[in-house]
Amino acid sequence: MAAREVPPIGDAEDQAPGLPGGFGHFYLHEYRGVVELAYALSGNRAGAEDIAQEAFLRAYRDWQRVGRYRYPGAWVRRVAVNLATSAVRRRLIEARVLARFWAREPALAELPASGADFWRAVRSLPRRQAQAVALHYLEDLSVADIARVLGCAEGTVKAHLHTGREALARRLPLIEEAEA
Amino acid sequence: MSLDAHARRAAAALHDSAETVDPFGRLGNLQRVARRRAQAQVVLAFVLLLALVVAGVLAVRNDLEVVGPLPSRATITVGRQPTTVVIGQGAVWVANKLDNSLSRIDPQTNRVVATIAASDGVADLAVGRDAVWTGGDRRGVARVVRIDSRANRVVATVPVTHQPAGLAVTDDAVWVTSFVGGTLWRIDSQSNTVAATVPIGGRPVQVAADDRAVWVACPQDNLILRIDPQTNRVVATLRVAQPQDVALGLGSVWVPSERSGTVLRIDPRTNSATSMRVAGKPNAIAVGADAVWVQNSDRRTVQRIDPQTDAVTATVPVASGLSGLAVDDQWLWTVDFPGDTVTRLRIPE
Repeated sequence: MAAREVPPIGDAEDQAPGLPGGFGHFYLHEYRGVVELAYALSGNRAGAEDIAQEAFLRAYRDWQRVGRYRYPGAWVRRVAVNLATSAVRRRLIEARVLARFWAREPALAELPASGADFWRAVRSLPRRQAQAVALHYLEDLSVADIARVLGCAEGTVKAHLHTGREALARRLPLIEEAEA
Repeated sequence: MSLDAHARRAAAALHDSAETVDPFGRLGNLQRVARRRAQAQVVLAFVLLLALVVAGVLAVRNDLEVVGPLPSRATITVGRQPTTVVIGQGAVWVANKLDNSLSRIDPQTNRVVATIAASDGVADLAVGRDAVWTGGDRRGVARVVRIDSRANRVVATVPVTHQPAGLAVTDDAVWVTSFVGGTLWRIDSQSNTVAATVPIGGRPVQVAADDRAVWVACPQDNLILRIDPQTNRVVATLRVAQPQDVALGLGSVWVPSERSGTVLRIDPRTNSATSMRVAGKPNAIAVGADAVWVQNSDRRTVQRIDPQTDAVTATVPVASGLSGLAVDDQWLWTVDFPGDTVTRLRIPE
């Protein structure tokens, strides 16, 4: 995976004693990136953290296996992008968010109009194209890394990126018009 | 501003937006949530076991032999003589020819949650952003019908001059072929009116479209036509032996040639085609789950084509060899013929 800026990490085991070895650091290192990815692909400010939390919960439950992977960050991203772009699963999470809507203010700040329009255009792409494009632009991942996250061939990623970027380029004037 | 510059700015905005996210915030909750989920799963497993025992007593199992690792399937009863299945708007839609109706299936429960009467009849189906489109011709009145996918009811009818055959939806248009009239109509999906009539000749049936091109299959004329949606004119013609269907996906146009027992892959940049041999007589095609799926009229199978190698990599027996199929990321849906059912098969990871 490409290197990303690491948020300040305190002692994870102090925060949540009893976590399996290595999980706390993995969580703190990857959490914000996965939240961003979930926000980009779901467009749901309140639900993005829930999607990320769900992905990490699955990693936590299966940490004996996932923790031994060479790229556990790719694994948790794959779960998150599938959650964020699956209509059925996303609605389940959104329903949970709505159920406690008044209890928690989203931690994510609202995007400016230009950013929101761009990510809306990404979400309007076919599912796999949107996932590939978001990983490319948001996480700056290489084709090989995107293929690892999506679990497909590099050639397939190239095709998704090519078609997705073409479609986005066609919509650019509309985005710029909306900004103006 | 270039696309990359736009993207960099949007990515930076999203990174800024997440600055306030506190990674420590929910770490402590994780173990508690995991414990609660585990307890809930034990209860759910018990309930499911009980339900399975009851269902096992009540239901007669009739499993198909599956070649390749497809572990699960479901058969869902719809209306009389279903002909077409499409996926969209969080639902699976089936056209029932003898009932003149549409069945809406909830993919979470495999149940028909709505049956929508379409008194003009149902030809092909196409799903757009907020509507399902079909068309029919009864008592000499031909119409294309718009169904609100939230309200599950007909909200507009568009009169046309001949019986509609195939339909395809793009962002701003619905493309409808007429087998009888040799015509392709462009319907404006904002105004629900015919915006253009393209006299393409021949006997067109299936149609597939995106923003760049409209592809029409004329099986009786052995032709595939490409129409430019900017000018509404035919800009390319390809000879294909009995092209029964046409689908877009994975950067290509896919056409099953029933008579020659091949599938054609057309490069839309050059309009050049390559062909690959498949077993039997391919007559319907769908693209999804990173593959191309071809239904076969004589052997009653669906074959999976790997787009990397253009080779058949799996063969799945299905109940029907004559009707439609649809595919999403995880499931293959086929219309059963004869019968009043559709079958849902899980695609392996």
